[in-house]
Amino acid sequence: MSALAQQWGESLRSATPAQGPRWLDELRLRASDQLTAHGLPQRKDEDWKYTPMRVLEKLNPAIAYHPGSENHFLEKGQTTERGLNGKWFSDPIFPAALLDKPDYEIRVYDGVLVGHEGSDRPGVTVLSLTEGLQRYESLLRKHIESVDISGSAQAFTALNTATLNQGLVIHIDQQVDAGTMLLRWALSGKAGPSIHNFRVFLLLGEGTRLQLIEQFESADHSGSALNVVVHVELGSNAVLDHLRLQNESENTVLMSSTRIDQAQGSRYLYAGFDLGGGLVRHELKTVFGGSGAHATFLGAFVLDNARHVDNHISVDHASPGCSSEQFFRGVLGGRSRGVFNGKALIRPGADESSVRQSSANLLLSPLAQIDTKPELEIYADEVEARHGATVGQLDEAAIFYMRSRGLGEAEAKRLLVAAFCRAVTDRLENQALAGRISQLIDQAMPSFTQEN
Amino acid sequence: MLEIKNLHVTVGGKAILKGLDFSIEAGQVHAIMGPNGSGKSTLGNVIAGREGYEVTQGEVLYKGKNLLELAPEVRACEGIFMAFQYPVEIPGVNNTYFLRAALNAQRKYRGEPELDSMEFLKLVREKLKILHINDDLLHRAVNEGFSGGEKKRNEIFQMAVLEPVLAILDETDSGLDIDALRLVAEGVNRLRSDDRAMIVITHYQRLLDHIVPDKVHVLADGKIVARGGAELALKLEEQGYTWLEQGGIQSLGAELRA
Amino acid sequence: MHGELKEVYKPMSSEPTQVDSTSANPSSVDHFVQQQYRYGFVTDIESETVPPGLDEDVIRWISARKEEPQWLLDWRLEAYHHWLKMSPPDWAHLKIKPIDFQAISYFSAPKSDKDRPKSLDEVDPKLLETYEKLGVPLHERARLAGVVAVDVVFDSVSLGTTFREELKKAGVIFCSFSEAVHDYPDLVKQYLGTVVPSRDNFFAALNSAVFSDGSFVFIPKGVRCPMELSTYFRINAADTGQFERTLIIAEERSHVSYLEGCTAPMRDQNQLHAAVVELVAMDDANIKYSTVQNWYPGDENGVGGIYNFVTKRGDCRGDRSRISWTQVETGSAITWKYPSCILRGDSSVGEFYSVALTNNYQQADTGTKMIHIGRNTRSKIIAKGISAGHGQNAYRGLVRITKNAENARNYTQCDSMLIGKNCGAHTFPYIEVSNPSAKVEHEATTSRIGEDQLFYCLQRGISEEDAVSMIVDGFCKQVFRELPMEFAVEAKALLEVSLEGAVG
Repeated sequence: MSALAQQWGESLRSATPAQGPRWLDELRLRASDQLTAHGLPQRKDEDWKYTPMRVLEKLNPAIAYHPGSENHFLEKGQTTERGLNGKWFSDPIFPAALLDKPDYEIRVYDGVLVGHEGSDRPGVTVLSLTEGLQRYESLLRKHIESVDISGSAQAFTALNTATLNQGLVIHIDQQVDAGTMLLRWALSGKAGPSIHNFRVFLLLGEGTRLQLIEQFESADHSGSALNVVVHVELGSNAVLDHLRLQNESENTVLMSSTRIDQAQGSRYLYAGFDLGGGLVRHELKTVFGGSGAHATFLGAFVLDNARHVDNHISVDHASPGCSSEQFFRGVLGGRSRGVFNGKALIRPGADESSVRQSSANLLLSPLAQIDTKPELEIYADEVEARHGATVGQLDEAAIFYMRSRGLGEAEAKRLLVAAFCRAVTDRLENQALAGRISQLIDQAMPSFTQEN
Repeated sequence: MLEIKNLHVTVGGKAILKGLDFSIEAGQVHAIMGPNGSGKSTLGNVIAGREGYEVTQGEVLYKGKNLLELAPEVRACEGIFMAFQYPVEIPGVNNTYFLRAALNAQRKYRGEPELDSMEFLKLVREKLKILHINDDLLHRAVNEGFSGGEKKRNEIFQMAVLEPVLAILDETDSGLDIDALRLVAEGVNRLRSDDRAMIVITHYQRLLDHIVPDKVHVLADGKIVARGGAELALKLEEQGYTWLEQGGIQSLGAELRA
Repeated sequence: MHGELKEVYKPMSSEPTQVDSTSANPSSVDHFVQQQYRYGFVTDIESETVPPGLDEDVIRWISARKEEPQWLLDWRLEAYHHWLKMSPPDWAHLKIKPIDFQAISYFSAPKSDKDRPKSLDEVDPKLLETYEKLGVPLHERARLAGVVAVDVVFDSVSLGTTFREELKKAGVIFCSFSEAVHDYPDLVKQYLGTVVPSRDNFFAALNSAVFSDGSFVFIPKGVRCPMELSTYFRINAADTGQFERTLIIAEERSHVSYLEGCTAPMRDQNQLHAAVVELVAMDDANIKYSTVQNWYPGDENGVGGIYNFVTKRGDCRGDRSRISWTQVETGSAITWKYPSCILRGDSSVGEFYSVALTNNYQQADTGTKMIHIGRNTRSKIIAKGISAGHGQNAYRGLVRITKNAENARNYTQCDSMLIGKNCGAHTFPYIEVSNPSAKVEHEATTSRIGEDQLFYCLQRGISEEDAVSMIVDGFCKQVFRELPMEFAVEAKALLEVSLEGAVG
């Protein structure tokens, strides 16, 4: 058991316990015990074999625990004392947003919901966790209790559960189009290296639509960590476009675990862009609870220096007639390391399932590393499943061709890397957004496209 | 404009060019002919600056300067253009975007203002019109999914836009049917001018029916073994390259000798 | 009987290759009716068997009985003590009852062992009859005479070796492992455990402690082995674990092709087989190792069958060396094996071609590891999995390009075919790349036999069974063509037999 987990366990024991429904208080304690008993994930945990936990251990973050109630009731447009003195829209810690005019904007600052503002759409409810628990207790309870917190592999969900008192609930009544929401995350680093925990619920009723754009962009270099657990429930025929852009500093640790429950005919689109961060890990797991559902996971990571980005996608075809796709592109320079682990499980009877997995990677530096593992587990015969994984370099012939037309070598490489990533951005419907992300990718493209 | 003296080149330790001499002046079109493996494409690649070609002896002067020490992109900016035998496909990189980036890199090098996309589009439309090329190839990725003929025409189109000082056409006729060949040749002929030199590398004479050269050089075993006018190409076509090997050079008149 | 056998062992290279019509007639519909495992029987020979259970004394007993030198006993004991500290692997996707290692007998030899037959002529006729019943070996060998030398392993002791003399002339050593320990102790000592260390994994450690016998091959510098080498393994005595140990050393510029084929008699109780195979290829050496594995898979209800937990690994120690694994796995209740290549030498090449078929309640978890260490190393993996009945078939593979492996190349293709609603096909490829000059490509597909393919065949008058057989054969072609000719025929036939009852 790691010293860090031990330390966390102790700090959880000595902290003022949060007040909530009894089942939640009990669950927090149970999670705390789990964390103390099993410690942090280890190499022998299959899903963590490539994730360098030493990065986190070295940062030695303390738990940022916010049991107080100051922002448990946060009205729309209001902000908290603690956060930004009522001026959170002008806080420099939030740089330019990816999206100019969202229908709704929500900000989470150091693991605390500090404000939300947007248009009044009937049937769209945005609440803090405390409010959410009052209004949708049984629904939230079902989700909270469905999360596995046992064993070292689940240490971060256990930690998140043990500290569970900060969160966001987005509830959309059936047949409502909620438009576009922007969820912005920032870490200030004011309290030194700390691990902030946060919980998000996206509860989309039947026939609803939402485009959610998450932006992680901190100016923090203190070595803070953010540990987010997200519950997504998609009612039948609901559509969620979930875009996540991460451009954190090199010291930042980001752990996210997203569980998606999809009813019949629902569609989930995830597009994750990792252009920064120190140690970043996304776990996404979707379960098809009804037929005709679709899930698409798109991802691009462009890494330099000693960054580490880990993507774990798992799709459970528990119902027939569903399709899923995982499509990832990785570009690795410096001493960076990328991991892709895509799983697809087709259960007995899940006929007419279709699965595609693609992981292509460019390894551009002698010290960079990529580990990719596309997995298929198939127990039904009327299925179509295929996967491909490649690791390679930029095409030398293409570079020469471009140079022979007058482009510099670095420029030629940039163009090729951009083209490589465009395979992902081209899949986004919102082309303006895709263009903006392409620009950010271009900026993230680091030393490996410089002259050598 | 270009002067090559006693050029020796090895590829992977194997000698390919073994003392090649060659020169061309502005306004001229020269053909380099030769059998497979004689070193024709090596010559083109050395001029363009591809890696893996080791010059062990001799020099290549371009506009009086040592060409060999320049990076490929600097050569391009200095006006050297190579129409490749096998133009590479670059998925995801838009043809128009690529060409504008190339043109602007060259303009910048020459201290000229860069073209914005409107100006560039105007230029492109002009060139397309002159070359009778359909504009749908603008919207595609560089050479991706192009037919053999489309690739070669795209090369000529790029040449038209970049307006090089020295153009090398490496086996531009290979893999083309007769109609495509004629179209490509017409495009090349439109680009002939007094201040531009062109080197046409080919195995067959048929391209030279359409692009009539000022001078023909015959390359065999890494050296120029014969030089002459356009009639030399006809002679070769008639007799075949084996005629060369069987001492045909000696039978040529002294005026054709190297 | 003896006379017939003498005939069998005359070189008959001019004879046309014939296929036993009972095992390889794809057009006969009769072969697709449910039938019992053709190779199931128990040879009625008294065996000398140690009582079930494993402790130091058993290991000392085995070693003493084989009159082994002290160093080998020490090596076994060291492995045993380490094994005690290990736990069986976590069977991620296999359903397996815990194995009681104390219920297994660790040594069994035919009683007539004291006066071992000097040649096959002296072999107990009953044993030879056994081989005849196998349908493949003896008569196959008849037509293979002059091409293949056979080191017959019956239970745990090697009984006969043919073509020793001819091989000896070429300088090739091909003998049982026990003989090698006595006759070439230095070679054994030099190479044993250098590819698969005794602590490598749970079953390799167990094998190192208790291995009974196996084959030993040594090809000296510059020698091209004049014939294909072959061993047929059998498991016979009831509840007897079988722990084979094979070591093949190919010195500089040598070539060898080794064939391994297996069948096993019918048993109700699961039998454990934990073999270790070590291959060493020096500069410019070339080893081709082919396996057709057809051990008893259990009945259609999943009762009985062999547990086949094998560690096979080749070490491309020399520059430009090449190791090629080809396997056709149709038998065993559970197969767990990953024939691997350590590509240490510069420009060395590793290959893995595999067909794994699971029917009824069989489970296979197989694949390979390609560890690229040297520069310009190349590897190729072609894996075909066919699942029918309630069979579960997993490809699990690792391609690792280490930091200094400049210009490494890997191509992997693994395809799965599902026949029926209750089976499973799984793919778990691990790709780990730490060198930026590497090119690694992995592709996998999962499909089933298309209704339209079947209908097309039926419409042309081909029976459903034959159509399935044709389609499956086509699916496996890339692998079959890597097998030596006679093995390819056997493999094809085995596939058909193994698929019986899968259609319809």
